[in-house]
Formats: sequence, structure tokens, C-alpha cells
Amino acid sequence: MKNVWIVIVLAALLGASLPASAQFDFSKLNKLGDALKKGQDVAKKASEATRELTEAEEVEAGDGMAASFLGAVPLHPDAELQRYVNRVGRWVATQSRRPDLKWSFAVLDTPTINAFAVPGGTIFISVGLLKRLKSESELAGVLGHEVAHVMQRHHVKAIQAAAKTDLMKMIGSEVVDARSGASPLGKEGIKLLTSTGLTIMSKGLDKADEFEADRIGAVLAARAGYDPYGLVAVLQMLAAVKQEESGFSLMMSTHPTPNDRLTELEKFTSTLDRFAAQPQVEDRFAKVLAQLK
Amino acid sequence: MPFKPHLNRFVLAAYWLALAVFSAAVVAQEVVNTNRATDMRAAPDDSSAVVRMLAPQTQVQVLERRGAWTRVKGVEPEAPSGWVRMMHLRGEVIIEQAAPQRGSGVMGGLNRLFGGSQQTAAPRAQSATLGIRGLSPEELQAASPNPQALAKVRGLAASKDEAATFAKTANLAAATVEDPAEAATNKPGARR
Repeated sequence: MKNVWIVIVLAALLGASLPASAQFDFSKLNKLGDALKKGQDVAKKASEATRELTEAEEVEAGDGMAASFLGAVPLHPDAELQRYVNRVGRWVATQSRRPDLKWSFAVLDTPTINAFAVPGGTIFISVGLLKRLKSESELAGVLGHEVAHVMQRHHVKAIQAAAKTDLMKMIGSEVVDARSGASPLGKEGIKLLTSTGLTIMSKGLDKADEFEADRIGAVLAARAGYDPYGLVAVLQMLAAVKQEESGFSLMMSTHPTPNDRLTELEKFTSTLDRFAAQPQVEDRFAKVLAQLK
Repeated sequence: MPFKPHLNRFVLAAYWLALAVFSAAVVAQEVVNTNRATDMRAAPDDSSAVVRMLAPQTQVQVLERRGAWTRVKGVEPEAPSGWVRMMHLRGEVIIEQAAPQRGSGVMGGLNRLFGGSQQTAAPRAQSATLGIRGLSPEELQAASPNPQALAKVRGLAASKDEAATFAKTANLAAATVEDPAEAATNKPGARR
């Protein structure tokens, strides 16, 4: 007991004799604690903004984009045509590395030449493009190219890169609660991804992504049992299209030229040749198109 | 030409109708160019007889496609048809029409139809003149989302099984195909 008192008195004397600046400041300790916690939050939020999107977020952003497409151009009214394109597309998508996504295919009622994919697996093709195709293998080539974009997450990656700064600002400003529910990005975050996505659709992807989608698209068509030259045939058809006769095509204005795409695909001639004897499936394609008005 | 001006109107009308239909069919043909010296063959097969040797930049009309081959016909009236490797063809390069048209009116039109090897190519025009706007960046950004249409799209989707069955009915069989780019770098999982 006596020793404890001696220690206390000595400590008090020691404390009293120290210059004020060296005295232990408890308020500073609190501030340090706060700063540490904030640092953790910032780091957590930064990682929220830059981590890869979950599949759920990808689908949500893609659905937002798809809803906008459908607001701009109506669905083609022919249900038989829609079902046909869905069956062909789903079979091609089954050959991809993401066979169990909710793949949906929509024919848009516009005479222009267009085909697009949005994140999450909704794919659009215009009736104008469909009418210029000659076989199911050509359709499989076009849809294969679009499936490839989703399989390789081309749009998702481009959207994330473009939205990164804005996402960080949004998350940092606590508009988005990084700790909440299923989508940590929240409604505002998804809205940002959707609008960024639409901007990217209007500008187009990098050439390398388009060339890769052609290569993988042809491979997917071949895996689905089709003649992979279907995609080559479509590119040749597009190469011969006179723009002033076909109207403005968002697709064609955002892709590399068909001639360049053909030159790139030519590198893989030996693979294409190996499967060139697979069916083109012209009859049932012609039947479906013939019953259109 | 065995055409007598005083032939009855019905035959005359039929003649011009046939011409119009024929010209529409010709105009709808794709015109492509060889991008290298290549062979036009009798059948879509490297071992079949060479019908004609084609110089680079030879203009041809596309008639049919089969596997890796395209059946084409030269643009001159008596040109033969035959098979050319699809990869040896490209879209025509757009050139401005510098030379004057050969003749005008009906005869000039007929000349262009049957003999025209010159392509009149307008520079890539804005669609505004045609009025086919379709989907533009502005329209896309300004569009009000249509979630009901999206729900309809979901309803029209095919299941995996449905799609597989549909493929079977056309005798489509899934094939094992390596992605040539992945195979080249020996990445694992190159088959899927």
C-alpha cells in the first residue's frame, strides 16, 4: 500500500514538472481514433467504387439501358419472330462461358441496321438487319457477336472505367450508403451506371473489343453447330450496304468498318474452315421471315 | 433489238414492267470487290476447275454463299459466274464519280444497267435527307424508359431447354471449338 502511494505521488510530481506540450492530450487521442475510423470508411468506400460490379448490379444497370432502348424504339409486334430469335440466341448463348444468365433477345421495329447488347444479357436486333440476312447461321453470327460482348463484360468494364470518378464522388459524399442492402451502390449509383452505359453505346467500344467479339462470336456460332462463315457473310453484306439507302445506323457508326473486321477475322481462317461444312439452316429462317408483313 | 415501236400497248407495258423488275433485282444485288488476285472456280472447292482468274479490285455481284465460298458474277453483261473464297472479297471502296455519264435518259440508263462498270458513289450522306432516323445517340439519351416493354421481352425469352430442343430439330449439334486466340497462349479453359 505504501509503495502504491509513493508511485502515485512520484507520477503526479513527474506529470507536474513536464512542459505543457509534452503532457498527454486525451482529446488528441479521440481525434486520432476518429481519423483512423474515417480512414477506414474512405478506404472502404474507395474500394466500393472501384471493385468489380456484382452480377446483380450488372443486370440492374443493363436493365436500365434496355428500358431506354425500348423507350426509343418499339418492339416488333410479331411474336413468332420474337420467339424464333430468342430460341436461336439462347442456344448460341448456352455455348458461352455465362450460359445461365437471363439471356433475352428483342427484335426492334425499325428498318435501320442495328444490333446491340447491354450488360446482363439483353440483346437487341432490328428487323431492318434481320431482313437483310439469308440464313439462321448468319443470325447466329450476329447474335454470337453480341453474346461475346456480354461474356467478356466489354460494356461493364467500359462503364466502370468511365464512371469511376463520379462513383467515388457519389460514394464519398454519402449520397450512397456503402453499407446498405443488396446493392451497395444504391439507386443513385445504378442510375449513374445506366446513364454512363447509354453514353458508351452512343460512342462505341474500343476497336479491340469489337474485333474480339467478332472472333468469339464466330467461335460461339461454330460451337452451336452452325457454319461460322455466317458472321463473315454478314460483314460482307454490311460492307456492300450504301448508307444513303439504308438510313442512319447507330451500330455501323460506332463499329470499325466491315472491311477491317473481315481482315481481322481472316487471321482465324483455319479455325473457320474446320467448321465451314456445318449447317447454314436456310429453310426455317426463310419461313419465319416470309410470314412477316 | 427486235422491238417494233408500233407493237400493241400491252406488250410494251409488259416489256417495261419486266425491265423494271429486272433492274430492281439487279440493283438489290450486293456488289463486292476482290482484294487480291484470286481464282473463280466451278465449285466451292479448292480442287475444282478454275473458271477465270480475277485481278485485284475486280468488281463482282454476289449470287450465293456456301461455307467459306461466295458464288459471284462479273458486272459485264456476258461475264461468267463461279465461286470465290469469301475472305478474298471486300466491300467496294467509295470513289467520287468523276467521269460524265455515258448518255442520258432511257438509253443512258440502259447503258448503266448493262454496261456500267463505273460506280456512282455519293459520299456517306446524312440520313436526314432520307428521313430514316431510327436510333440516334440523342434519341437514346432523351428516351423515357419503357419498363413494360422490358417485361414483355422477359416474357418472350426462351429457356435453355427450349433452345436446345429447337436446335435439335434443325439437326444442329454442339461442337467443341477452341478459341484460337486462347489456344495460342495456352490459357487453361480454352474450350469454354
